[in-house]
Amino acid sequence: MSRRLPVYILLDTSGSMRGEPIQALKVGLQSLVSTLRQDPHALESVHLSIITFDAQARVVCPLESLESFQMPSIECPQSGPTMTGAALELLCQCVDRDVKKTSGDHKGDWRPIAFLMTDGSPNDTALYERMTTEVKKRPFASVIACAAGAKAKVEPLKKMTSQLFNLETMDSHSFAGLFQWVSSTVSTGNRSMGVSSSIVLPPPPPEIQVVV
Amino acid sequence: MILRQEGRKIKDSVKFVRELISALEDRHKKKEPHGCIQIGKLKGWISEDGEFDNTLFNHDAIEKDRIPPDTYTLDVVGLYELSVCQITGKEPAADTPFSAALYKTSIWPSAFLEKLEEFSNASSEKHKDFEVNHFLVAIAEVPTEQAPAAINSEPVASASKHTERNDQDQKPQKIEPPKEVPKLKISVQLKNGTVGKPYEYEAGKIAEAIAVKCGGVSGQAFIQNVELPAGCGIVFDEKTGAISGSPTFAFEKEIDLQFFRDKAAEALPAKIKILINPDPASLWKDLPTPADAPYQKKNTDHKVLDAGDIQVMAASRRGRSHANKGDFRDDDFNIGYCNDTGWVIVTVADGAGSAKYSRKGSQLATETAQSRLLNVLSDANNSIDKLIEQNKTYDNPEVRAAVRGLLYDAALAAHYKLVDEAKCPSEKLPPEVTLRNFDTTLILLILKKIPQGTLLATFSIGDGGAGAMVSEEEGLPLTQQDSGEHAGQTVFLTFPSTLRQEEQNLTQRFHMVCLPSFVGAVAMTDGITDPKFPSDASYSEPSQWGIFWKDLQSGLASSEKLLEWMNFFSPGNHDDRTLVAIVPKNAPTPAHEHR
Repeated sequence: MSRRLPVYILLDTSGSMRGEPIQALKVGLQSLVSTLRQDPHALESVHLSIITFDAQARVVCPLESLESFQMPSIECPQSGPTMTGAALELLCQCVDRDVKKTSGDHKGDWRPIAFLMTDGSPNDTALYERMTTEVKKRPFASVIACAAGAKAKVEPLKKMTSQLFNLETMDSHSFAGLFQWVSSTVSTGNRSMGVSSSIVLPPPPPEIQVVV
Repeated sequence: MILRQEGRKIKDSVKFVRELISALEDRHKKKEPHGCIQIGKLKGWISEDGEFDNTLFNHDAIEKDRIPPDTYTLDVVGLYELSVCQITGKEPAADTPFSAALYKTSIWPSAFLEKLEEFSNASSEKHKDFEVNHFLVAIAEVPTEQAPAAINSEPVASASKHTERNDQDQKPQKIEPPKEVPKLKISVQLKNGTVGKPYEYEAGKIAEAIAVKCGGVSGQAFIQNVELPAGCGIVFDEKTGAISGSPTFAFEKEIDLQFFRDKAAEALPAKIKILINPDPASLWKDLPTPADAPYQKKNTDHKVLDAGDIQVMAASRRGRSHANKGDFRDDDFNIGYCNDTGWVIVTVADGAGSAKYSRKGSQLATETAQSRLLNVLSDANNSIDKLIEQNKTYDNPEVRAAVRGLLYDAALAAHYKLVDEAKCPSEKLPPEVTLRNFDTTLILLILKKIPQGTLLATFSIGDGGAGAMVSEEEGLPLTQQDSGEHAGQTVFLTFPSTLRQEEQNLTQRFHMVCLPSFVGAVAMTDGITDPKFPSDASYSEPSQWGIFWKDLQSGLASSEKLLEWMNFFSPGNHDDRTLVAIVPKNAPTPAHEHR
C-alpha cells in the first residue's frame, strides 16, 4: 500500500451554524472532495476524516481513502456550547491511532494535515488550553485554523496554530473559496521536507484574510 | 400539498427577481446600461400579495415580440454579469467560469444557475445562441433537486410528469388525494468504484440494503429496471439483481430503479447513488515549466560515459507529480571519470519538493562535489592512491580516514556553494532568498578498480540510496537512508547538522567496500528507492537488490532506455527519478543476451 496523506477536517456544528452556514459548509466540503478527486496524487494518497463538534465532539467519518470516501450527513443542534477542546482531544486520539510511523517493514504515512473551522470560541476553555499543547506534540505537517463569521474569536485559535485565517462571511461563495484553497494546500502536502518544517501554504483567495 | 411546493418555488423566484430589480435600479440610477430589461416589467411580475405572477411573466418573458429574440446582444452579457455579481458577490472574472454546483443549495433556481454556467463555459461563438429569454425562462423553472418534503405524499404515478420541464404555463392544478400508495423515497448510496478496477455487488445485496432502509428485510426483495449510464462498463443483471463490471468512465449519479418487497408486492420507486472515481493514471497532466522562472532546467537528462572497462549510464526525469503542476525537475546528477587514475565519480541529488529553488540546489551540489572530487582524484599523485599503494591494501584505518575526509570535503564544498548562492544568487531572484530555498539531498559515490577488487565508497545526506551487486542475484546497500518517522521527512545538505564533524554522524554517512568481482553499482534518488525498496528492511535485503537488478536490466541497454525504464508506474510514487548505473563494459547482462 502506498503512503497515505491523512487529512483531518474539524468542523464547528454548534447551533450558530444552523441554517444557511451549515448548508454552505456542506457544499464547500463536497466541492473540496470533488476537486481533490481530480488530483491524481491526492486520489492515490489522501485519506480524509471528518470530526464535528458542538456540545460534543464526534468522528462522523473515520479516516478513509479519498477513493472510497462518502460524504457523511452533518447535522446541527438547535443550540448549545462549542466544545473545541473536546474536538482537539479527539483529533489527537485519532492521529495517535491512525497515522503510521516508519518502521523496518514499512514506510510511514505523510505527516497529517488538520484543518479546523469554527464560527465561535471554545466553551471548554481548560481542556482547550491543554489540548493546544497536545496538538503541537503531534507530527502535523500543518494545522490550519479558520475563524468564520463575525462572532468567531481569533485569540484562542492563535494558541493552537500560527496558520490562522479569517472568513468574514459564511455564504456558499466564501466556503467554496475556502475549501478550494484547502484542497490546494492538501495537494502540496505530499512532498519532501525537513523533519520539522511545515508546509508552505499557497496564497489564500481574497475572501480569506490572513490573521497576523 | 402540491400547492405548498409550488409556493416554495414561487418564493425562491420572487426573492431572486427582487434582488435583480434592486440591482437593476442601482445600475439605472448610476446611468449604467441595463439593456432592454425593463425594471417596470420585472416589478410587474410580482403581484401585490408578493407572489410570482405567472401570467404576466409568460407574457413578458416568453412572448417573443416583447423582448426581441436578438441573439448575443450586450443585454445577454449584461444580464449574465449582473446575475453572477448578485450570486457570488463579486464581478465575474474572465478566467474563472461560473460553477452552478457551488450555489446549488442557495435560493437561486438551479435551472437558472445551470444556464449561467452554460453561458460562462460557452465559447464566444456559442454565445450567439443565447437569448435573454433563456435566462428569464430559467428563473421560473422548478428547482428539481429542491423538491420539498411534500413529495412524500405525492402519488407515485405523477412522478414522471413532475420531472418534465417547461411546465411553467401550467396553472397549479388540484391533484386528487393520493390513493393507497405507500410513501417512499428511498435512496441508497453504493460503495464507490474506480475506472478500470472491478466493481461488483452480489445478487440481492442492493435490494437488501433498500429493504433495510424501508424498515423490513424479507429476504425476498428484488430490484428491476436499474438504468446505469450507457457504456459505463458496469451492468445490472435483471435476472440475478447483481451489478458487476469494470467502469470505463468516472461519474456520480443517482439512478432510478424499481424496488419490490417480494414477488407479490407492487413496484416502488427507489434510487441508488453511485460514484465512480477517475483512474488516477488518466489524470496526470504534463504541463510545461514556466519559461520566465529563474534556474531553468530540462525535464529529462541522460548521459553515458566510458570509463575504461566500465560504463557509467545516467538518466533523470521529471516526476509525474511535478509535471502535473508544471514544476521543474528538482533532481540532478553528474558523472565523471579520471583518465589517468581510473576513478569513477558519481554524484546524485534530489532537491526538496518544498523548497523553491531546490532544482538549482541539486545542480550546484552535484556539480560542485563532482568537480572537487575530479580535481583531487585526477591527480596521479593524489593522497588516496598513494596511501593504498603504500599500505598494499584499502582495508586500513588510514585509507578509510583519507577517503572519508575527501568525500566529506566535497560535500562541505557543495554546502558552501549553496550558502554562497543563497547570499549572492547567480540569477535575478525576488528578495528574501534563504539557504533553505536550495534544500537538496546529496549522494557521492566513487569507484576504482584496485588489485584486490573494485573499491566503492559513498557519502550520503538525505534519502535515496546507492548499492552494489555482489552477484546477479544479490546486492548490498552502500548508504544509510535518512528517513524520518513519516514519509517525506529527511535531512538536507543545507542543514549544518548533517555535516557536523562528529564520529557518529560521519560514520553513518560514509560507507566503503571492496568487491572481489564487479557486477554493477547504482546511485539513485528516492523517486526510485521508494517504489523499488518500500521499506528499510527491503533496502537492506540482499535478494531485494537482486530483484531490482533484474528489473533494471532492460534500462541498461542505453541511457535513452534507462530514461524510458524509469517512467514505470507505481501508485503513490510520482517523484522525480534519477539513477546512475555503473556496469562493466560488455558484461553479458540478460538484456544483451536477448538482442
